Amino acid sequence: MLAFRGKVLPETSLVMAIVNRTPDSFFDKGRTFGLEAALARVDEVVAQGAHLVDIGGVKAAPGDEVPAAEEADRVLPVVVAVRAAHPSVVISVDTFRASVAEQVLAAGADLINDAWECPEPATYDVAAAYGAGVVCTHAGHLPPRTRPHRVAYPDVVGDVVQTLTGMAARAVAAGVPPESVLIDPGHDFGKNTRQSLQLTDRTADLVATGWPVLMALSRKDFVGEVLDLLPDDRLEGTLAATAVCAFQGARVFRTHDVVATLRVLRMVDAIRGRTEPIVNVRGLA
Amino acid sequence: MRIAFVPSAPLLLAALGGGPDDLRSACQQAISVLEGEVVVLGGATPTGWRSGQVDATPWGARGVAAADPLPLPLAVGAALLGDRPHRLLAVDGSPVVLPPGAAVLVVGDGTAKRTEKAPGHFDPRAVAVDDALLAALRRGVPQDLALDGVLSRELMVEGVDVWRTVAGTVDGTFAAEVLYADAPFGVGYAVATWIGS
Repeated sequence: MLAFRGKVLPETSLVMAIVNRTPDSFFDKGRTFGLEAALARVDEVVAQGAHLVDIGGVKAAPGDEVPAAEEADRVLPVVVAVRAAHPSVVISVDTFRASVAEQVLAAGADLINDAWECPEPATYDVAAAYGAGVVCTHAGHLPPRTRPHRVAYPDVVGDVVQTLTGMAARAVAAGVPPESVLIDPGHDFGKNTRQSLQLTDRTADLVATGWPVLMALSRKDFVGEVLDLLPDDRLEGTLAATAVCAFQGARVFRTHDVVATLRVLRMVDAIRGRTEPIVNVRGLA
Repeated sequence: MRIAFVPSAPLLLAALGGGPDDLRSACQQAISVLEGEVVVLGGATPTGWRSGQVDATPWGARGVAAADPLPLPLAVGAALLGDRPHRLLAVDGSPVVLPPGAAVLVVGDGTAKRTEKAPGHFDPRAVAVDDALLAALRRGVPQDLALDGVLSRELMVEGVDVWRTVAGTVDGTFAAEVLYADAPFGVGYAVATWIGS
């Protein structure tokens, strides 16, 4: 079972919609930086069927420094407004800072999506105090907002499995509810394209840990390098990776493209016998 | 004597979606007029009294295949009746001997060539055949159910055998009511009840 602060999610593959309150994220480039634009985007993705929304105030790549107070100023009003407007949607906040986590959880967020291998261990204590969930993400043991440079692993999949199972155990030991812990291999984070591809190919190894797997694949550089395409043209590559991961049992997909991802996941779930066709007529009339 | 008529579409099985709401509820309404033990009649070979399980796996439902799956019309009839007492009789168009006082559920459907997207594509002759069947169901005259066998097979009328059996087996006149008559997927479906005087 997957549940965040009492919100039980369906047993299907799930979509986490990206909502960036940033002026500089790589794909949306400030489109939802304004508060009204961010809230309108949340309304849109919830209407499209997203199960979780992931609100971020700091772009992942290196760039302008965003102090904790400014990050909180960006994400808090979104969390407050979304909590009021959408009581049942799972609100995730993309932050590596325990102080920001504390504030958004107090405002009603359900999940802390730390994409940087938890540089501030207090984050897990804060999540535990609110009965909230955490995403444990492998970032190649790099500091936040850095790019990989010649990162090498004797066994990248083994490193990811070992790191993430250790982090998940620490989260639960801190008091985070076990049904609220996700693991994320962190495509592109501390990884070159081949390493991200290996992790995609071997999703089953992550699923075999027993922890529900979140995949953040959307329009990332590993897709771009495989196809030599810029972010605007990476949808098909992202969806191919999505299908491969979902088929192997990954559970949650963080995406810029909610409708397309939901369709791919429903198709994969149907192939795996996890959901029924919506229409049952062909050859059965 | 009470008789209900329902289609034999696989999609009526719950594991295959259960079919459109209006069709399914018409079937349930038709069955509700049957009293006591019900004899389900369906065209299938070998003929005779049958037992077995309702098994949708032959049509792609997930799960383990039954050791003794029922043929389609009998499976649909048995599934619609659920826990109600019933017996299953496979027929091939020949008359049969029914237990005295039995209620009968006749499972069969019309042409499969009603539209361009129908399973058998469009055939301009199909609608007249389905209309003739519908007229017979509305009149409540069993003998009128004996459709032309050759034309019916050309038009993929799967109910032709079971209706010929009814025509040759059942006597009398009935108060008839047609509860559903449509071809939503290009196959002629009819749901009707006959209540004997």
